[in-house]
Amino acid sequence: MKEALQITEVDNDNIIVPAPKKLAIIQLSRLGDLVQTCISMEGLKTSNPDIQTTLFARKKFARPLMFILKDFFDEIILLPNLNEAKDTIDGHRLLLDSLNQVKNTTFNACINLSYSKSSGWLTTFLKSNYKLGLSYNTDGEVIIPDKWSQYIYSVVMRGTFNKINLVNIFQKIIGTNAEPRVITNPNNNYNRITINPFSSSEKKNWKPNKWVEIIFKIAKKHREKTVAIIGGKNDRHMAKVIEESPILAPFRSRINFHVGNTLQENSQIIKSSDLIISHDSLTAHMASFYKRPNIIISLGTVRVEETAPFLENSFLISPTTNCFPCFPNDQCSDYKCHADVSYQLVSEVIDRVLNETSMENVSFKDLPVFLTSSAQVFKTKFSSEGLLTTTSMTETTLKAKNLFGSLLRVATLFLHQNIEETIPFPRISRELHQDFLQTLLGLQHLYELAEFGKKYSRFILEEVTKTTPNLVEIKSYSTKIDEIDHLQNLLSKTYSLLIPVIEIHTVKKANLIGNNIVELTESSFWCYDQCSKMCSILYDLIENTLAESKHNLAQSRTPEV
Amino acid sequence: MEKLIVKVIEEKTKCESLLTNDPTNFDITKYLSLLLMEEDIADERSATNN
Repeated sequence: MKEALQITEVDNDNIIVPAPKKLAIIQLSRLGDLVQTCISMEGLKTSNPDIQTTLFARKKFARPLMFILKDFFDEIILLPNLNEAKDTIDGHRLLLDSLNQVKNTTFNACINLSYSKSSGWLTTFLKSNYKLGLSYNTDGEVIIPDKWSQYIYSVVMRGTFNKINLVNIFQKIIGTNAEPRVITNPNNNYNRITINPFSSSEKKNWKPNKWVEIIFKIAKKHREKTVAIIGGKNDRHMAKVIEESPILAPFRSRINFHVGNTLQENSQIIKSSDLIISHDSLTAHMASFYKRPNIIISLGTVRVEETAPFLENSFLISPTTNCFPCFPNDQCSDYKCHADVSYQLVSEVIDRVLNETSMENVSFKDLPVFLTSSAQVFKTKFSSEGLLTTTSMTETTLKAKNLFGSLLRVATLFLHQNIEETIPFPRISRELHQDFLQTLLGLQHLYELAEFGKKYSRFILEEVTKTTPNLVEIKSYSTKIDEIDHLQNLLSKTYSLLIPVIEIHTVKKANLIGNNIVELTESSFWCYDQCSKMCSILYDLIENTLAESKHNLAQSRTPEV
Repeated sequence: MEKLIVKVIEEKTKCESLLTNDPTNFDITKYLSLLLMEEDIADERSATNN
C-alpha cells in the first residue's frame, strides 16, 4: 500500500490517478540482441498502457538503432563509449553524466537481459525493489532470483545445450505473451534479394569468394531480380573484394552495393526485399523484425535454435562439424565448419525458396546426399504456445548433445511453464544408444542425491521446529547437504550430458530465497525437489526414446512373410 | 591506449579488493565505469583486428 501511495499523483481536477509503472530494461549487448529485445517486448505497451519503459544500452549499439528503439521505450539511457575517455577519471565522469538522469528514479521493476559483469553492476546500482536477471549483493556475490534468468546463466551461458529461442526466454522473463510471428505480405513482389555477407566476427562469416559464387548463381538464374549487398562501414574492404570480382562483371547492373549505409537506410531495403540472405547477424534479426523471408547461414559460435530469426518459415543452414558450435574464445585456424557448408547447398536452398510460391511447401527431402553430408537445413515453426521450434529438413545423424538438448527443452518447459511439448521419436544410432544408457545411470545417481538433499533439508526443518533445537544435529545435516552438493558436481565429470541439469541446480541452490534458517531450508528442499523432478522427467523421456528405437529396430529386422 | 588498459586493470583490481575487504568504501559507479571501459576497449580491438 505504501508503494501504491508513493506512485500516485493528483491531477488538476483533484482526481487521484496512478503514476505510470516504471520498468527498466538493461541490454548492454550488441545490435542483434537489442533487436531481439524489441521483438520480445512486442505487445507489452498494448497490454499494459500504463507502463513507462526505460532502456539502458551502450551508445555505440543503441544510437544506430534509435529508429526502432524509440517505438518500444519511452526513455533511452545511452552509456558512453568509454574507450574515448582521456583516462579512467574522465571515464567515470562521463558515466556519471549519463546516469545522472536516473539518479533519483526508483523503478518498479528492473530487468537485466544481458549477462555481462557490467550489466550486473548497473542493475545493482539502479534503485528498484524488484530486480530480475543478474545483479550483485553487497559482498559482490552473484544474485539471479528468477528461474528463466537462472536458466540463461546455467544453460545458455555455460554450454551448447540450449534449444529454446532467446526471444522466447526474454518474453518469459519480461512477462510478454509469446505470439506466433509470420511473414507479412508473402505475395508482394519487390524483385529484390538482399544479402549481407558480413558479420561482427570472423568466425561467423564466410570469406568473400564463397559469397561471390552465391551472388553469381542468383544473378544468373534469377534474371528478373536485383541483388542488394548491405553492410556496415567496417565491411567496406570485404565488400570491395566482392565488387571487384570478375565473374560478377556481366551482372553489375543488377547488383547494388549499400555497404556503409546507415542502419535506417538498410532497414528500408530489408523491408522491401523478397528474400534476405545473411549469416547470423543483425540483418537476420532485422529480417525477423520486419517479418521478411530469410535464409540464414549459421557458422562458428552460432547456436541455431537459440538465435534463429523469431519468424515462422525462416530457413537456417548449419554445418554438422563436430566442434560446431564453438565458443568465442576457442582458437581455430582452419574454420572447418565454414568449409562444411558448401555454396552449392546454399544456392540450392535459395533456388527452392525463390521458386516456391508458398514457404510452407518448400521441401529439402530430395537434396543430393553430397550436399547434406556435412550440413543440414532447418526450418522454423511456432508451437501453439508461441514457442519457436527449429526442425531439421534434411536427414542427419543425430548428436547426443542435440538430442539431450531437445529433451532438456521439453523438461524445462514442463517444469517452468507447465507446457507439455511433444517431439517426434528420433532415429538414434548404436553409439547414441550407448551414450543414453550411460546417462540413465547418471540420472539415477543425480535423482538419489536430490532425494537425499530433500531428506536432510527436512531433517533440519524438523529439528528447528523442536522446542529445544539441537545445533550440533543441524550442523551435521548441513554438512551432509554440502557433501551432496559436492557429489552432484562430481557427477558432471563422469556424465557430461548431465552438465546443464547440474548447472541449473547449482545456480538455483546459490540463489535460495529466505532471511532465516527456516525459509532458507524450505527453499533448499524445493530446490532439490525441482532437481529430482527434472531427473524423473528426463529419465522417462530417455527411457521411452530408447524403447521406441529398439522397437523400430526389431520391426525393421523382422523378415517379410 | 596501452597505458589506459594498464590503468583500468590496476584500478579494477583495487576496486575488487575494496569490495572484499572494505565494502563500505567500494564505489559502484567507479567500478562500473572501469568494467564498461574494459569492454569498449576490447570491442575496439576486435573491430580493428577484423
